Amino acid sequence: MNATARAGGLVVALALACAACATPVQAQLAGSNLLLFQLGNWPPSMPDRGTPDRESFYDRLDVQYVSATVLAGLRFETDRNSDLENEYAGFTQRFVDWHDATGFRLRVGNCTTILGRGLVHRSFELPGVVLEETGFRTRFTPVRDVDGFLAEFERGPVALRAIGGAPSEGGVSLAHEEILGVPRHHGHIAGGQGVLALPRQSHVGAIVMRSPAGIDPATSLPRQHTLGSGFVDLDPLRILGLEGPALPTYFEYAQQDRTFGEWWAFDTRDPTPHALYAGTNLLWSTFTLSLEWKDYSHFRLGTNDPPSLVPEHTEVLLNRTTHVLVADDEEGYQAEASWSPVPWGSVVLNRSRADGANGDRYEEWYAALRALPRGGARVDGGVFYDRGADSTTGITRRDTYGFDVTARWRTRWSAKLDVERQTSERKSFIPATLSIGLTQFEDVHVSLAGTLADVGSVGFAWDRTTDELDPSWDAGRTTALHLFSWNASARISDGNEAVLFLGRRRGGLACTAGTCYFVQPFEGFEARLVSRF
Amino acid sequence: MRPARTGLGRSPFVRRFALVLAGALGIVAHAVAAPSLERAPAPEFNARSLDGRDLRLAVLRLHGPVIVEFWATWCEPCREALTELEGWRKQYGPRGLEIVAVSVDGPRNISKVRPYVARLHLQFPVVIDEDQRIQKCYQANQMPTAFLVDRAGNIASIRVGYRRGDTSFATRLESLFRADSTAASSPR
Repeated sequence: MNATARAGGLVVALALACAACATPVQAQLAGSNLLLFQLGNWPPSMPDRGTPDRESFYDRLDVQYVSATVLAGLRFETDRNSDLENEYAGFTQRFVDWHDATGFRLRVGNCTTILGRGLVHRSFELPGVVLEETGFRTRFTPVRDVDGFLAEFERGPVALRAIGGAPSEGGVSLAHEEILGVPRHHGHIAGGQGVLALPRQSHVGAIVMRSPAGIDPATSLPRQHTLGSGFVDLDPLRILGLEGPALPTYFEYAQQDRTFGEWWAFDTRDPTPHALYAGTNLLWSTFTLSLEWKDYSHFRLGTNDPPSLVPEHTEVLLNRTTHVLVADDEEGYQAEASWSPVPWGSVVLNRSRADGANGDRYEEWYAALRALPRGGARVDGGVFYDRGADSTTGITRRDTYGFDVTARWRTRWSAKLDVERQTSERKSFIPATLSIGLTQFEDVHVSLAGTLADVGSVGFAWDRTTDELDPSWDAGRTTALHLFSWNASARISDGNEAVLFLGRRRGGLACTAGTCYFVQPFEGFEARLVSRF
Repeated sequence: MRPARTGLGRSPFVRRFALVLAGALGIVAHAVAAPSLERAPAPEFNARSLDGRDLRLAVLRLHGPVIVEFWATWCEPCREALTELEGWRKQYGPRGLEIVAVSVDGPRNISKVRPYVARLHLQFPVVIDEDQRIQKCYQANQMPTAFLVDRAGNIASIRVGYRRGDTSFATRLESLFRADSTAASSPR
C-alpha cells in the first residue's frame, strides 16, 4: 500500500476511534477476525516448500463503524512464518460509505460493484477464502476491487451508478507492494451504468466503461479502451399479463471501441471483441428450466467477470474438475431442468458446453436425485451421476458418481456420509512407447462427519488418486496416493468458532462463489479461529 | 534470496502499530459505552425481492423479528438452513416473524437462484445481493449466516454456518416473542 493509501488508512482508523468514543444510540463498531495457524508444509512434491515443519499464521481483521447513514471500514492483514519468507502486515482495505434519504450513496476508498451481469465490469471479493501463491509464496484474501469511488443515485424509475479509480485483479497480496514494490492497484478505469425501470418489472440499461489498453507505441502514453454494453431484463409472460408461469429473461451485448451505430450491428464474428450473454428461466409450478447462452471473444479485461455457464457443483470431485472460463474466445450454453413434485424431493438435470479456441471443448451431463430434509425425518440424502470431457486438459472421458446420506437421532445428533468416485481418461505422452496415448486414472473421496448440535462436529476424510498430475504425487510413485485427514469444529462461544484440521489435504482447483482458484496441498496441523465482536 | 523480516523498530511497523492501537482504543471506548455487543444495530438495507417487492428492514421489523439469511446456490448446508427457515415461516409467520433470504450468488449462478427457490418451495422473500453490498455491511463471510433482528432494529443473535438441530438461535427467537408478548401485556 503506498503512502497515500497508508495516510487514508490512518485517517479512517482515527475516524473509527473518534466515532466509537462519540457513539450515538444507533451506531456501533462491529468486527470480525480470521486467524489461521499452520504447523506443517506443502508435500515434498512441491518446489521451494522450505522447512517441512514450517510454522505460520495469517490473520485478517475487519472493523466497521456502522450508523444509520455512514459505514466506514478497515481491513488489516498479516502473514508470518518461521521461514521468514515474504512476510507482511498492513492495511489492505479502507473505505467510507454514506447515503441519504434521497437515494444518493457515495463510497470512497476500496469499492466493489457489478455493472449489468459483469460482462464489462465486476469487482468483488471472496471473504471466506484465503489463497496462497505458489511462486512468490504468501497468503491473502482475494479481492478484486477498485481503489477510488463508487456513486449511486436512484429516483423514480431511473438508477445511475458510476465507478472510477485504480483497479486490482485481486491475485496478489500486500507483500507484492511491501517487498517487490509492485502495486496491487494499477491503471485507471472509469465508467457507469444507467437503468430505466419499465412497467411490469422490466428494465433496460446501458453501460460505458473506459479501461486500460496498454501503452501507445507512437506516443508512449497510456491508452484506454472504451467498452459499451446494453441490456434488457424482462418477463414476456408478465408483460402479456399471464399469471402462473414466469419467464424472466435477460439479454446483454457488449462491444469494445465501437461507435453507437456499429454496436447495433450485433457483430459477433471472432475478430471483433464482443461479449453476448442471454439467459432465461421458465418457472411453471414445480418444474423449472434454465437456459443460458454465451459468446465471448477478446473480452478478458481483468476487471470483468462474464457468466461462465458451467455448473458450480457442491460435490467435491466435480468441484475440482470444473472448467475455468476463457473470455478471450469461448461460446457455449447451459441448460438445467429441475422438477420438484414434493417439498422433500427433487430431480436436477444439467447439460453444459463451452467451445474455445483451436477446437477446444468442455462438456458435461449431470443428473441428481435428492431427498430434502423435512421435520422429523431421520434420513435424507441424494445420488448423482456426471459424464464430461475437457479437451483443454486432455480429458477425453470423465465419469463421476456418488451419494450422500445424512442420519439423525436424539434431536441433536447427526452423521453424514459422502462417497464419490471418478474415473477419467487423459490424452498424454506415454514415456514407454514415446507416443501420445490414453491413460486412465481414478479418484475417490469418502468423508464421514458426526455433529452434535450447539457444540460442534468431528469428521474424517479419505482421498485416493492414481492421477500422476496431482500436486501431491511424488516422482517415481507407482501405487495409488492416499490422503487421510481429521477435522473438527467447535463453537467456543456465540461469537467464536474454531476449526481444526490434521492430516493431508489434497491440492488443486476449487470453486467458491462462482470463482475458481488453486488450493495448495498441505500436510500437517491447521487451526482456524473465526471471531465476531 | 529471501527478504529479511521487517525490523520492529522501523517506522512502518510503528505506524501500523499506532493504527491498530487507535482501533483497539476505539473498540475499548465503545465497549464501555455499549457493553452489550449482541445489541449492535442491524445495518439498514433496501432491496427488491425476486417477486418485485420492495423490502426495507426498517419496515419489516415493524411486524416482528426479522431473520436475514445469507446463502448461495453453491453452498450445501444452505439447503438445509433454508428448508428449516421455511418451516419457521409457517410456524412463526402468524406471530409476526419476517424472513429475508439474501442470495450472494454472482453472475455465474444468478440464473440458478429462481429455480433453486422454486425447488425448495420457499415462500419468504428472496433478494439477490449481486454487488455484495448487504453481505459486506453484515460481514457475512461464511455461508450460510443468519442474523436475528429484533423489533428495535438490533441484532439479537447470529448463526454462522448451519448444524442440524442447533437450538440456540431458535431459543433466542422464542425469547423475542416472549419479550414482545410481555411488553404488550404489561400495564402502561
